[in-house]
Amino acid sequence: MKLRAEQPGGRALYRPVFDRTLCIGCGECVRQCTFNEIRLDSRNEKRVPHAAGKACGACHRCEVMCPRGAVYIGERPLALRPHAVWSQEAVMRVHLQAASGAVPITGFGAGSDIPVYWNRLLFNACQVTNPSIDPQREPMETTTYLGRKPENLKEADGFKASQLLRLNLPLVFAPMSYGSINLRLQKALAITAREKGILWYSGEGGLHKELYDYSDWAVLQIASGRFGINPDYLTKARAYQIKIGQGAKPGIGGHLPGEKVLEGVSRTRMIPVGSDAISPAPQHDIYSIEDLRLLIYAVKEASGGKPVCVKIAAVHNVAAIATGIVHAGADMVYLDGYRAGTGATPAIVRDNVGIPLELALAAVDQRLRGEGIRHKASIVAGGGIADSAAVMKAIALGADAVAIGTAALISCGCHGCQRCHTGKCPWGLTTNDPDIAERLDVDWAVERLSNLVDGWLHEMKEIMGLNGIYDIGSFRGNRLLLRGVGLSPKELEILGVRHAGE
Amino acid sequence: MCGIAGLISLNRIRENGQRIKKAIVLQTERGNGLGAGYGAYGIYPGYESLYAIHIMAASEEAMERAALFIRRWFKVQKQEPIPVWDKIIRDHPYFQRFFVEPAALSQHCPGGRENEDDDVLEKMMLMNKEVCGAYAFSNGKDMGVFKGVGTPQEIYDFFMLDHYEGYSWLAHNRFPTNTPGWWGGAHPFNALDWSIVHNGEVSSYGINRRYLEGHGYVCHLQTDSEVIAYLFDLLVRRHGLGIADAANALAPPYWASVERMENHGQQERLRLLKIIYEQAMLNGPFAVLAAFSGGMFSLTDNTKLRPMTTASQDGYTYFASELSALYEMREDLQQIVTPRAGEPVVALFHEPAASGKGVAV
Amino acid sequence: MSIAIDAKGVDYRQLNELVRNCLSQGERHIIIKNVRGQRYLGAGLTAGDLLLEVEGVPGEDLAFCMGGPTVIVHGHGQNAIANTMDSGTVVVHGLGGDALAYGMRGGSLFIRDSVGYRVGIHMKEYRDMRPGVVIGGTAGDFLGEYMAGGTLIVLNRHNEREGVCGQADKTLATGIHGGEIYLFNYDVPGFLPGTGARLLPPDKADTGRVRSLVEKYCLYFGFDPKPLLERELVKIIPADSRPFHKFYCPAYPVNS
Repeated sequence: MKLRAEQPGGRALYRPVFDRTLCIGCGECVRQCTFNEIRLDSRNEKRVPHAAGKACGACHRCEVMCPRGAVYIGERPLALRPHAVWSQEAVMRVHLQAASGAVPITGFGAGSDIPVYWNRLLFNACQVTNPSIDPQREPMETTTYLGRKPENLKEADGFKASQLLRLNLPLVFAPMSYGSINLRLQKALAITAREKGILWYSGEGGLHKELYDYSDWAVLQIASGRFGINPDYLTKARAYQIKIGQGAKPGIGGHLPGEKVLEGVSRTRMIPVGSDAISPAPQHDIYSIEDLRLLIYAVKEASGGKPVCVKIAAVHNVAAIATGIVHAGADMVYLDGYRAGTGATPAIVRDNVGIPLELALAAVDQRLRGEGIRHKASIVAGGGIADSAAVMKAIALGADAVAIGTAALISCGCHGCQRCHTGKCPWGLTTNDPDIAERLDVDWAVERLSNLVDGWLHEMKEIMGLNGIYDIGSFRGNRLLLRGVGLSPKELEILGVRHAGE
Repeated sequence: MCGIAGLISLNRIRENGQRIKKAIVLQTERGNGLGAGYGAYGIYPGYESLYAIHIMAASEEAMERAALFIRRWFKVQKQEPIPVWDKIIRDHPYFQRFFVEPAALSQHCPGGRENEDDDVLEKMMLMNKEVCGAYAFSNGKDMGVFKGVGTPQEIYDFFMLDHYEGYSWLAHNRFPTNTPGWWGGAHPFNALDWSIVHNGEVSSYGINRRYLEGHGYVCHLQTDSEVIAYLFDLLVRRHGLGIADAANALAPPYWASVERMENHGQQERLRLLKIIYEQAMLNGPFAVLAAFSGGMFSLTDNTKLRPMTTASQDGYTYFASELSALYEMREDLQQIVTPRAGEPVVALFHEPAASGKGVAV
Repeated sequence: MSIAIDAKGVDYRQLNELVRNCLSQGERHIIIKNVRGQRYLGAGLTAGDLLLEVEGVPGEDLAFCMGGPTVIVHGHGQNAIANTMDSGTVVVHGLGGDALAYGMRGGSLFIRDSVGYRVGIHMKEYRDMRPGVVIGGTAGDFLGEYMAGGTLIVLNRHNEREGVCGQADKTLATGIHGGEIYLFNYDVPGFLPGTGARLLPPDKADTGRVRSLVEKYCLYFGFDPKPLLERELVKIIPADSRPFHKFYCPAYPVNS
């Protein structure tokens, strides 16, 4: 029997819905849709848009750009009998694989129903015994230094604060490579990082020459593909990040398809145009912790002693691994949690591998303290940070700084259609197609990113102030500021947090 | 809200507790009768070289367990009940004091005298954790803490502090807020020769405590003020910081103030202190009075959310939460000094004690 | 005619009761001697013709919510003097503590020497009620925070160059949205004024209100106003009556 294309798997769950009384048939929606979902028909002298029903991913580009407000995105669920196992997702995925024999890939972070612990943690607030601080009118400081610090003043001989990375607030832009995102977006992130006094992480796509001016705020990545890494690269950053793993795809490598490797990416990554850029799963010079140490010190040696960060995915044994990383000489440990986003990952890996950031972060912070080496490395935590409350909860659990990736993309237009890997991002973010990329105006993106940082900073200060804390340093690792709700004793134990009411 | 008072004779002239009592009793309104205490230095002449361990116990059995513990780890030179006048407060714990030196030092502490302090503190924390019903609340040399549940007048009379002569005294009047009023929860809090009285709330307690636990301290009193004594012990005794550095670590100036400093040496020092001791920094409203073998000093939070006034005259320095209380210690004060936010007022003895170690300022 | 009360060792409740008794018996000049830390003196009193003289150091909340009397303190003052005061006059021959004139709506407060932190927070005016505060020396951080009305003068009598009105960044007059602050002979560092505060360039004391408050101050404490008034002064006023209106945005769409 031959299945028709409309069978589940080849069918979109969303579709643009048109209000024909408002539509003037201008065709803007057709031009905006990079997935060719919409076509214009002529009917009685009038041009009318039609949706094919095959490829709408709810990116909302047509809706936002329609000059008449004549289109919105409607849901088109697959009506199935309710079933705990055979959900819409599961049925569609089987059909998709039955048709293709392949591994379905997706972008974004995991959206499964694994608990989001941020939502089970609540902050304290001052009442009577200590005054809250009004951050709009009173000093409130978020200055953060990252890197390896002396344990005490006696050990600080010859140590200078300038050896560390100074941030105005404990927020960084998560690693997103040039290639997975385009140069315009990366430039907007870099400009914003410089303006706000924070950091941007490059991901493994090399450093484009246009971004040299922003390299003092850059943490450049060294990963298994070693793209674009040359002696010049090793002079051009505030710090370096060795990527071992990513929360969205722990244990597997990456693959930037040849279609995304155009001229600029080719030059920056130092690979031929059109060739696939393959990042192997492991770094093949790191098969052990002593190999990692070898690379950490190689980077320090070659870069004139710049701090080195090691990025790992949050996995079962993360606390022990982080300890090893710190012993191996890393100045920062970057923890990428279960919900971390990506441009491309097998859905089966994204949704089933790794552990929630909240638990990983709590375990790592506690373990490093137990080993007496917490001062030797800063912890940067990322993966599924959706608002400033999650930032502050991460800080209270022990993070020195918190990374945001998806939130930054959303601020620049992303609506979470999860098709970053196609190279057709209708918002011009995760595409290198020059015609589509042009949709992103760098100045506009900088304004949006800056506003996001400002808004979150206001809220972060508000949360500090209502706890009577004027300096983020006293919030950091201060788990007494949190209470858990509806968590098991084991979860509370790992989080190091008391239950509400205690 | 709590009340604080302190006085110190820089020439180590001893006096009984009358003056300090007047100063703290004047501030009775700052407490609620659920806690008061005194700390006195120089009160055990003849025993200067011995650690004076003050124990409170819920029962005679608990005191016996505590005594066993102490005898196991220390060489006890003298053991006696702490005299109390129990007509004042009938429902009270048992009190004993032990004058000890570390017994097994030669075997256990190859570092010799340098490690005596560590040894004593470690054993005291162990005892407080493991010996049920007993609590060592004071363990320095030639000094003692006297505290409990009652008003400042009651606690003074209960411990009969007229009969002690010390050259520096501090006192506290408690209004417990976040933790219940119990005998061990009253101030001062002591760690070796450090005693602190505290008015305020330590909003940073959660991280201060984790930081201290990482350095081997056991915080068992459920009281935020406890961490302050340990922080001074860690920073000054173990890390060798001077008083000024320690004060700047615990109540640092704002980053904004540091970054616009013109003295670059001082600026870098403050940066390092803020970076290294971020987890030791005290946040929240506080005024602290700290006494130690080298003297006494006050410290407030860097927004100055709790009061502190001081006066120095004729070889004495006086401290109090309320200005009027200073005059209870001396009627004819010429000049009052109200310290600025985060600025310590330091009073050091002119001559170090024979057994005392030097502390840089 | 005056009547004296000896406050030595007297509890504040009893002391205030004594004052109220004298008042109800028609006494209008009451001298309290040997005051040491007794709280709430003058609190809530409303007799406009009462002169209350305090010898010693009165405790917290002197003249709290007072409406009318004149209180003269021969000694230092403590914290929270003239807290939420409605009208009347308080004169302190010495230092003042923290949190003076909080929410003060009317009347005047004269402190001969310096004061502590958080002085004049949320002073306000209402109809013809307009509070005035004169500080002879210097003040700490958060002077005039959220100030909504009235006049706050730092006379800086000894011409200090540092710490005249606090020292922490952006803590001077932060959130001021009414009233005025005058600082004598002080070049305000750029980092001091907080959000919403607008600094006007140096000028001479030409407004009648400053002049009259300073002259009263000098009258109470026996100084010559002329050299004090001849010095330059800067004025701080609100930049806007709504300094923080851009801070918030609606969480859900609204039609403006």
